[in-house]
Amino acid sequence: MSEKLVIIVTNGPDNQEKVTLPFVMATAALTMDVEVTVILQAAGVLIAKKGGCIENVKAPGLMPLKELMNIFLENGGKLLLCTPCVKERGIAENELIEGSTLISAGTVITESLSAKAVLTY
Amino acid sequence: MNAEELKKLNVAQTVDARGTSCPGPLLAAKKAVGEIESGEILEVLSSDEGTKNDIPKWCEKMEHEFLGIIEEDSYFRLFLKKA
Repeated sequence: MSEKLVIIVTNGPDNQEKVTLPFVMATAALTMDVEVTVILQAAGVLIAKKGGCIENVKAPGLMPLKELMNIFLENGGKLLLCTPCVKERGIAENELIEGSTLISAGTVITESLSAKAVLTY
Repeated sequence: MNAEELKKLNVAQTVDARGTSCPGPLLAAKKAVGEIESGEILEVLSSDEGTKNDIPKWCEKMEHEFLGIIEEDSYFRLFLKKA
């Protein structure tokens, strides 16, 4: 994979469309052999909680978020989470879905600078 | 290629992605193209309007040759040759 895309998600499950669209884009990019990193910030981290609200996210006209997330992770997508955003919401590290990695601001910057494009939702 | 030419193609595999929304047809095409040989033809069936644009763009990016589309009553048949 020679190209890289970073997608930053700041919306949580309250906005089903805005939390699903990033994963529509991410999986589409993976079909084009683009390396994809999704960074969850603010309420976006809620979708990475095991057995959490992701199960119920199905925006009209879009694939269920859980299905997209599985495809994303199974196909090599990288899922990074803002550490303070996770802690602030009382989510323990062992409550996060497999494939999640906690990061801090520096990683957001280096990931973004190394990408060809950054999308923000 | 026009519809008549497309109908005469020797299709190696047909993948039915009807009923799935974006990016379902792309994901199906990506998986199916991995199961055929270079130079063989893949047919993708889709009821998603956006696929008419997505598959040609995907082919361009992946260097497959997009051959054309047949519009049926409620779905599309898209043809491509694997790079």
